[in-house]
Amino acid sequence: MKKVISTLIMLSLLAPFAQEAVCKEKKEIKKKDVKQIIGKEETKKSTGKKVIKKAKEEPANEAIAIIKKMEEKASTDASRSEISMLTYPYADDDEDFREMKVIAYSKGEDNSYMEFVSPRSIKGMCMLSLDGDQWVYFPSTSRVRKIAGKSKKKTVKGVGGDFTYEDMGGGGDFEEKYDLKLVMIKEKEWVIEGIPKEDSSCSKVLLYVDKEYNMIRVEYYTEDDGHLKTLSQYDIKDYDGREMPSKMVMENHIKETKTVILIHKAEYDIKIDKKYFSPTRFYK
Amino acid sequence: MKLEERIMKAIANFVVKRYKLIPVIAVVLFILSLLAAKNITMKTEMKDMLPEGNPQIQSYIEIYDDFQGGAFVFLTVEGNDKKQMIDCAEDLAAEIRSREDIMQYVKAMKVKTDRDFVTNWGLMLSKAKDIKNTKKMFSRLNILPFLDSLNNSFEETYTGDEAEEDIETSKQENEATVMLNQMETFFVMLRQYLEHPEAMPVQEQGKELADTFLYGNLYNFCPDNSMLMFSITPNFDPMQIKKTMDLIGSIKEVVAKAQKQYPDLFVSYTGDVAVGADEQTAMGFDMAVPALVALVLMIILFAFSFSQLRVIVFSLIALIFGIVYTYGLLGITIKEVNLMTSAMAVLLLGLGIDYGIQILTNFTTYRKNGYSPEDAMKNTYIKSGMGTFLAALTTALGFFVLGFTGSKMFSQFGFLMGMGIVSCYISMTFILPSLLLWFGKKELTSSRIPTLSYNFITKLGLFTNKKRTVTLILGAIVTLGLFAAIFKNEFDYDLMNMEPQHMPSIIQYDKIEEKYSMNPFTNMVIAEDIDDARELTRSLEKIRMIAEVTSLATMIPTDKEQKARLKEIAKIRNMPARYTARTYSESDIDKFAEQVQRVEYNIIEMGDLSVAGLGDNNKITNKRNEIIREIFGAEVGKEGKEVFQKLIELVKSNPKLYAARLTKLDKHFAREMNKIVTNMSNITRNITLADLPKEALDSMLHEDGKRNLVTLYPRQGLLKDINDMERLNKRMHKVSPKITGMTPIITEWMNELLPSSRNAAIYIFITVFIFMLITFRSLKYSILASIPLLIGMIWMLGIQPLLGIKLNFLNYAFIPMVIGMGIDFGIHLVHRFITEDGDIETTYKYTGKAVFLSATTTMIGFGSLALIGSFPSIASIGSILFFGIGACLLSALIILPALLKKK
Repeated sequence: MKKVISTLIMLSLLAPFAQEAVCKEKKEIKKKDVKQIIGKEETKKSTGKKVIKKAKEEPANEAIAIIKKMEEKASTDASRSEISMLTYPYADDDEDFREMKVIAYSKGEDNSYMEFVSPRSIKGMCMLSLDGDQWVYFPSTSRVRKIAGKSKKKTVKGVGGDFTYEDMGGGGDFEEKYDLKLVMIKEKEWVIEGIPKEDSSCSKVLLYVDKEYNMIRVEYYTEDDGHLKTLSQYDIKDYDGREMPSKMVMENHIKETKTVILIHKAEYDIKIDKKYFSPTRFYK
Repeated sequence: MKLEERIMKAIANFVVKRYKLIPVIAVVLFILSLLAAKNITMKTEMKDMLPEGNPQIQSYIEIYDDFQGGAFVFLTVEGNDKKQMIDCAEDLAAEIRSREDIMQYVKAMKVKTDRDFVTNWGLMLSKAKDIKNTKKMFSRLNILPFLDSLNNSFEETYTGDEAEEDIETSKQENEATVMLNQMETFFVMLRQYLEHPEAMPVQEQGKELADTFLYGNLYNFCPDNSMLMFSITPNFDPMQIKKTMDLIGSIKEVVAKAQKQYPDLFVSYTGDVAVGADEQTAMGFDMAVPALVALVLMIILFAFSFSQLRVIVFSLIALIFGIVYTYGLLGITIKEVNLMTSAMAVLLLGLGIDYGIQILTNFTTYRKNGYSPEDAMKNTYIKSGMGTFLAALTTALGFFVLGFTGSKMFSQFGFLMGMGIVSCYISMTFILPSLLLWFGKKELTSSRIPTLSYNFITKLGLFTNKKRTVTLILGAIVTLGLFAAIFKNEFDYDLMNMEPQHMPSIIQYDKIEEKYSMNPFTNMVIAEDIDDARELTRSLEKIRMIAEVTSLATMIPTDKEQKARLKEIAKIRNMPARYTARTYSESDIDKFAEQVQRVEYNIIEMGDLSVAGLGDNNKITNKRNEIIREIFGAEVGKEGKEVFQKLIELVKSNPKLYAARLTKLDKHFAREMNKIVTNMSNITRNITLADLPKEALDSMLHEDGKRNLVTLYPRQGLLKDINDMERLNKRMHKVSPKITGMTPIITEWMNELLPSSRNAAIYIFITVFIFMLITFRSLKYSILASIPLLIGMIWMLGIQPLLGIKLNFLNYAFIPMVIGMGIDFGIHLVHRFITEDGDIETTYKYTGKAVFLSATTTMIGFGSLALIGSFPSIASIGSILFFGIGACLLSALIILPALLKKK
């Protein structure tokens, strides 16, 4: 159950995408710095000099600026999305998978509501995540379970997934969670290293951000396993005027499993009925 | 005079001069061949056709030697009454034990789980965490608090806020299904008692209820309890056909007796050993009946085609001699036949007769035209001898090149068929003419049977030769249409579809797949010791495509695990009083109903959550839907047994009455539960191999006391698709490359067969074409001779989907044969066309008729297989060859004349 719930939480947070979880105020404060640093990078490009290099000057500021810009691009107050989650027990076998479809609503940083559309047997099952608490509603029995204090480090296998709660950015933005440093500038992307500030399931992350400020890949490292997982984002599409990846693949290199998330439809900055974010809704 | 003509003339002179000596030599060779053929052994398994160096084959052989191949016979009892089904199974087992003719072949028989073993070691086989949960349940054994503890345990494990268990693997799915089955039985029995307390003394009711909860089903019932199955492990290698047939023959008798005794039940059998025995029976029919039917039809055809009946006998004698020579050569060379080469005799019947037909047709036609026997024979050799020789040589060469495909089965098959063609050709070239000259009538007399003239062949040839443009345009349209249809061909990967579906073992095989959601054909691996078995078992249990793993390791936890479990068991042992005397009030009935409702809710939610890991329609949701009303999310589906709601309705209908009945039952239930729990918790030491049930040790442990067999059953439907099988193999191979059995061997075989078959077709065609280039010394004539085959192949492959016939691994493997046979028609006709200086009429009058008769006899042979063969696989081979030969013949008679032009 624990894993199931974690996955539900993760799915609900996918609605606005990982990058979106950022406070508006912070973005405004840093906008000026972002412009300056990015401007510097563009000048370098225009000189035609070698573009793949190790970032030397102010790597932390550069990294923060890039991440902020990326997060700014993806931020939203509220969203609605239709998502499929495909779990593959074997990463190298594309034929063996289970699919679940959900409609997810998100509000702010942590609050989300989602409802299963398929498989048919669990159609109507709902999940609410509100201020750190979670509720699950089973339509088949009309019972509600309140789940509290789940570990963010837990891997969400089961309903499927190689994601952990924290992988999805739930509970804070990158700057808040990691000490960031720009470690490499490639022709088409930046590579930013993130060292967790607090206790985390991984010891290091490498974020690959393209020059359009899209997160294209995240590599997760641990002390014990080395390169544990890779999250790749593909197929940038226009959703409601925003360019976002429509496919995310999280591959666990140790367990040799993978989870694919497909975004079929997404709407941003929309008005969402308050009823979705009220636990009393379940207790009627 | 051309060289080829000189050679044929020399042979003709030799035969005409020595026609009395040749049959004598032939008889001597015939006897020698019969003696040599005694060396041949029959190997009928797929593994015999695979390379011996293959590690899976080596493992398979090792398992055969040490564990008798992990093969099983499954006995099944179907019905609605569980008690009656158990009685029937016990009677079956008792009958088997009493019969020496069966027990001499039985290594182990497992009818049910050993109750004493469960009492002694049941707790030890549970995880420490689960024992801890169980302890809470065992602390309150009165029915109402027990139900509360049961719900708590359920929620802690599956559905609660802190639940740790996600249901993802087949093992978890099986365990959960068994638990639901147990719950169903428990609550149904509870209701039955409350409703009819007079049916059985209350002490017995209490005992039965406690037994049901703590022991569950000791018999192997399917999830809906409509089938009970138990297994027999034979003590012999299932390759031993006689023992297999004897064992299954006796088991059939036992099954028939039980069926008579229990007419309300359905008793049957299956398993790889049983399927093997049923196959042998069906194979016997397929080898004999279609061949006999074909022979009769051929004789009738010959009778209407040749005026002298004796010539038919001569040609059959010559053919049999040719085939026996082939087996003689086989007896001194390869010395074995396998599943593929066993069909050789039937194929040689069809192919070898063709050379005789060429001789007979020409000889009898020349005789009718007034030639003396000697001159008719000389003309036959000169005019058609080289064509026949070329056809035989190309066919033989085509088969011989199969040796270069790199496949053991194709190499053997090619070598034997090549030898067979050469033997039959020599036999037909020397023995048949000698018999015709020696015993044939000197004067032609009119036959009492009207003889067919086959003039239509000549007329057809002349017509299409004249109307070549129309013929070629129509031919091109038909060919293009059928070429497009080729891409509609479907491939049937399900090997079980190639088995005769009426066989009892196949019917039960399908039922077991459906009812137990697993395939009864096993895969297995030898573990070097228990630690190795444990590692293998754990890894295999994670593979979702595996339904079940059986291993001694599941009964021997690690020392560390055992230590932790003993600690928890000791806590149960040392518990204070586990129950009290309790009187139920009317308000307790409300609480009781609440707990029953809670159980139902927990079961429903467990089903919901299982969908995440196992998908829709898994065993848990199916079982759940059977015992409650079917749930589809917010929707409500069909009614189930309503196990819980009926109980709630009952107790609520008269709380006072049922409170009194519950009080009575509770006393005995709690006491009995306490007794069993006390016995179960009396364990103070580790479990060892010596503690395991005898039948488990007999079937899984090697004599050395260390090596043991891990057996795994694939999920339902897995053998239906080659892709699924390959995916399972890949997973299993990662766990251990030594895992062998049905899935790896079938896959290996299929993987070898498809490319080998394709390569064989290409090699045969190229070789034959090169040979034609050398002999015809003309690219044009070589192409012309190939055209009937090429067009025929297109027609053959295009007709299949239009008639709804699917390709499969066996008929696909026989496609190269069509090349070997179909090319002959073009060679015969083109060669005769050249010999006759472009005379279409003579070509089709002599050789056209011969080609028609050759093809017709071959088609009769294959057609009888297609229509009468009880094995769909054999029928499918007959069918594809029938259409292949038929298409090549039509093309040779219709299209080829339109392409032949006089210089």
